[in-house]
Amino acid sequence: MENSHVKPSVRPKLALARFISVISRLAVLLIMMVVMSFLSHSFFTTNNLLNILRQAAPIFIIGAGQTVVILARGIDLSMDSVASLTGVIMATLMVDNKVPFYWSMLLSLGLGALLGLINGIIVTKIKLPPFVATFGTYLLFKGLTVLWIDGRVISGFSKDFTFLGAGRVFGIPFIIFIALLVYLIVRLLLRYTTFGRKIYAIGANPEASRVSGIKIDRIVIAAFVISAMLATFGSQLYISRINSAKEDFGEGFALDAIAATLIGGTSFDGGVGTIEGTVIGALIILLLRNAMNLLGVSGLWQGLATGLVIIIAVLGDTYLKKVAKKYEG
Amino acid sequence: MAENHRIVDMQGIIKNFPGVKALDMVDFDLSKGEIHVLVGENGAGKSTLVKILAGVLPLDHGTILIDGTPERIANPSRAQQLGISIVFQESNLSPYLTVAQNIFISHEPCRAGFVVDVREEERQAHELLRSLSMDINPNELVANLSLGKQQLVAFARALSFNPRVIILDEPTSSLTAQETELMFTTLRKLKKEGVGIIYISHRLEELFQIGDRITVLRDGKRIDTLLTKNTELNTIIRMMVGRDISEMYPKEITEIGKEAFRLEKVTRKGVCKDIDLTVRTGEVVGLFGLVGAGRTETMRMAFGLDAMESGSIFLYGEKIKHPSPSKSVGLGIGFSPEDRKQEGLCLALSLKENIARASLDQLFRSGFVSGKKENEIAQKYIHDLSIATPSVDRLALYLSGGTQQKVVLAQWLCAKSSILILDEPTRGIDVGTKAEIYRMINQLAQKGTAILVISSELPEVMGISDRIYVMCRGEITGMLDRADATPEKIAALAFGTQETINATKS
Amino acid sequence: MRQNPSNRFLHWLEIVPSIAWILIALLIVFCLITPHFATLDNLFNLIRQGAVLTIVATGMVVAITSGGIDLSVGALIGLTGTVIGFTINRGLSWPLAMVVGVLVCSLAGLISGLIISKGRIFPFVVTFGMLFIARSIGLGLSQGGSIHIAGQAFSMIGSGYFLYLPIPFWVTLVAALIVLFFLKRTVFGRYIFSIGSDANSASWMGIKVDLIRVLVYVLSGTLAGVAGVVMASRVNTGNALIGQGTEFFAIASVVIGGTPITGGRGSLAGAVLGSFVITVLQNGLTLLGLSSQLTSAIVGIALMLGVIFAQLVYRGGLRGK
Repeated sequence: MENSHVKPSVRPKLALARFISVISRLAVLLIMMVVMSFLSHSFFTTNNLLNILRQAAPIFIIGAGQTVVILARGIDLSMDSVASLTGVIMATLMVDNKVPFYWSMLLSLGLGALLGLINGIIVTKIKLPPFVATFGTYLLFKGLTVLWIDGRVISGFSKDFTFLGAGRVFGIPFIIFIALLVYLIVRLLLRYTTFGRKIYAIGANPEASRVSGIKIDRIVIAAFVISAMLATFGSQLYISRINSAKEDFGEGFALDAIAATLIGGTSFDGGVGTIEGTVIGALIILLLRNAMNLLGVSGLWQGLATGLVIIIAVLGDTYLKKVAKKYEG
Repeated sequence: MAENHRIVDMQGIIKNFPGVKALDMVDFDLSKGEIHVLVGENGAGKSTLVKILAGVLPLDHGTILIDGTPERIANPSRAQQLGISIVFQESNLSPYLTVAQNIFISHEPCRAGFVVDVREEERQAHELLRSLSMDINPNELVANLSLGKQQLVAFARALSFNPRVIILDEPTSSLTAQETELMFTTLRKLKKEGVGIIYISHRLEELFQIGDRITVLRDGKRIDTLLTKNTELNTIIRMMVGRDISEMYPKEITEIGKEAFRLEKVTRKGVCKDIDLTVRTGEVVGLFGLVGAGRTETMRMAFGLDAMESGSIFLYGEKIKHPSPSKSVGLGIGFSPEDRKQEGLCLALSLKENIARASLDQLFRSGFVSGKKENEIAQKYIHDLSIATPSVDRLALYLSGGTQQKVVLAQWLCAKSSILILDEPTRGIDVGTKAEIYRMINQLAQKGTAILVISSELPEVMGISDRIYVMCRGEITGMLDRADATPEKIAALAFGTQETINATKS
Repeated sequence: MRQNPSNRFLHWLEIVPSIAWILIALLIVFCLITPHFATLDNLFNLIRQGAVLTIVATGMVVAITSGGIDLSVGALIGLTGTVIGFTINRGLSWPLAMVVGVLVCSLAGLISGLIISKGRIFPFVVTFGMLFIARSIGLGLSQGGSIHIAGQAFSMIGSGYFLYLPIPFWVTLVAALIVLFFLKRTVFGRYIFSIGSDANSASWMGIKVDLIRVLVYVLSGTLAGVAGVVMASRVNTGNALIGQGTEFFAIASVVIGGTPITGGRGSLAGAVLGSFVITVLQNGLTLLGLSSQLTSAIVGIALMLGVIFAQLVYRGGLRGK
């Protein structure tokens, strides 16, 4: 019988691989927290921790969208301007046209879906590589944003709306609950639906998926729609929190989303990764920022930390893979 | 041969891959001025052995002596230094560089260290090609050449190193008869110059034309080494196959029903012409041919993966409009690709996910996946197909070749396919698993599945098929019933010379 | 259908003209639409503006042809300026500061190259991380602001003339010629094509893939540094965020110039012309009075169309099999 010479307990399993990927990151996160609590007295206070969660929430939400796309072997560089375009349109609807906030949000989510659809169609039907396609739409949507808002800054949103991003429930920022909800929904989608299985399959091997009869185009388009909608939702919460909308907010969304996804262990060419990883990725990014604030390090060095963490995370995963392969013999 | 004439002496070579013993204590030697032929079925270990000699693969155990001195051939550069050149089976050239550039990669004529003397390079390439009687423009991009010419360029490259040992892995698979003759002439010339040549080929007739000695490998072991002039084709075939055919291929009587799957006049320029082929329920049809005959391409079109220019596909007598993979799968057709790692499996995913992949919508109608059901289904097929794994969760990447193939099959069983197209299902698989797969094919046929097996192994296709179609250069040259099929007839159809086809058809 | 060219020159002619025609068409259109376009002043302006992108594009085409990509170039442009400003303010002479600035970028490229080849990590991911790192170091050095770089001599690079032509033109020309030489006349150039097609096959042919990869990113980084010098000289400022986004435009230049994003083959001339197209487009639209974001939008559409076009043209032909 083949493989009888390899010990059963260490043979690589998918669930185990995913578990290790998440646990190792969680461990890193916890170690960071422990180190921080020694380095600064203000770290381990409820206020500070809630602050971290509150700021990580929108990054996670947008990151979740990017994770879905990257898992399917794509990438979405248009998030910045999807966020700004849908954001300013929603803002004008709410403030200028006095449309109730829930309708405005819904309409703007619908618009986000449409923008995602455009991305998806360009990638699947016109067959442009996602990198190029979403960069093109990034520029396109950016231009449309400017046309729409023309330099204005909109503020003065309704209390109901600003509650979403800035309000608190039992002292906990509401946005954290929203992020939790998004997490649960995306986890459900990725882990417990046929759609999720297909996303992983396409990312792992598009050709084999095609042979299996999976309708690749459909799934990829859906992934881009999800990504754009989450970018939209994220931008809505963001506007809600800072209570203003202008043409250039949204800058850096895509980069942060990709960073959170990569740090979280999602492989760049898809098929491997978890949404839990992205949660941790967003938390790690925020932890670094927070750490720098508390330690008095200029915020300008954040990028350095983020960049290093991305590279270390990916190197770490490569190393773990090598170790796993050794057990296979 | 005298000891001091031996250029290469490989002793006790052992090479393992996950789950498969690719080479098991193999000895092989090569003398000056000798053409030593290596034969064996797919997966016998031939390519592995020569890749080790060429520094492309590391060996696990064993010794290699070059001119009597033990050497460690750690990488291709070292092999090149030792005077060993290899022409791979798969084209190794860079498509967007010219012929001359490809020939001289890693030993370009240079000035000042790394600046290429382009004129000199072109001149030398021209000289080389001319001396080999190859009518190829050195400034032509390799991508623009036919596969046959590309192989000749690869050959020229190997020769440009002035090697003492040349390894040719399936060198004539894409060559025309003329080009093959050209190559043989060159090989004979090299022989006279004392170059040692290792020649791997499936084309058994060729080997008797060109080889001095023949070594037969089977399942990673060296069966025997014989002088060509002292042996004959049947002996070689028997050694390659090595077992009683009926024992290996458990063919039982199956009730064959009506037409299940039919190709009609499937045509695509440069690939295939007017392919007519039928598979009936409960039938196992073999599709045999040499590498490059167009079998895979044709069946890919039948499944809907690639577009055909003209022709139709019929399922139970009804035409399939606009074939596509998703449509085919929905209609109950399954396809196990030739390259199971690249096209058949998602290696990064687990076994159970690979099994369910073609049946997701079928199994989970609500769209929600139940982990429990996924596990149960995987367990069922692991049991039914005797898949050796401790867990359904195991990553496909770590499964052995035989297990991987079973998983691909399981995928289609799970999808309840009534028609199966299997492209080289036993390639690179150990004997035991091969026998299991043949049994499975048999069982499926008995249950009424219509099965088409593309195979390049003569004994295999003869052992499992009810009928055998033979393709050569994009056309079906003949069809034989099980009772009428003999190796000679099949081989003749596969080589496609007119006389042999006529002789066979009469 | 398409005739198979029998030598490299004809092959080159096949790729290049498509993008050249587009460039010519654009030039003609803008000459006709706006009187301000066809002036010597504007031409020189164009050259100065476009130099940065073109220099970066020459490095990018090498990276992409080798099967990789370099997302850090934009950040490296900014880093160069801040390093120059930082060191000049601490007493270094400007020529030396320039060299240090470029070498810092070469070093960044070296690090990226090593992680990519030894760590076996996707170039996208590594250079993405390097983007953050380089930008952050630049921000840190400049305290988040702009460092003024005084000095007539230094600013001559960006605004001066040599033989009646703007100096940036010469810098670009020299850079392009060096890369051309590198690609066509050295062994490295060959190896880059080979690695881009199939890195495994390349290693079996005896090519030292890791070494070549490192060289690719050192080259790309160095060229970004040179571009950064030109940029800093033009605006007399060292600012970490200058050059943000250049990497994407460089990639676009390369792709519309006929190099597939997957690598294996590439056209330096195409990339250069592609960068010209983008620069001319931006310049022309600005002259027409369009706002910078609207210009962006139109450039975005144009780029997408350009890439689609490139796919059709370059995929359609040149298939031997």
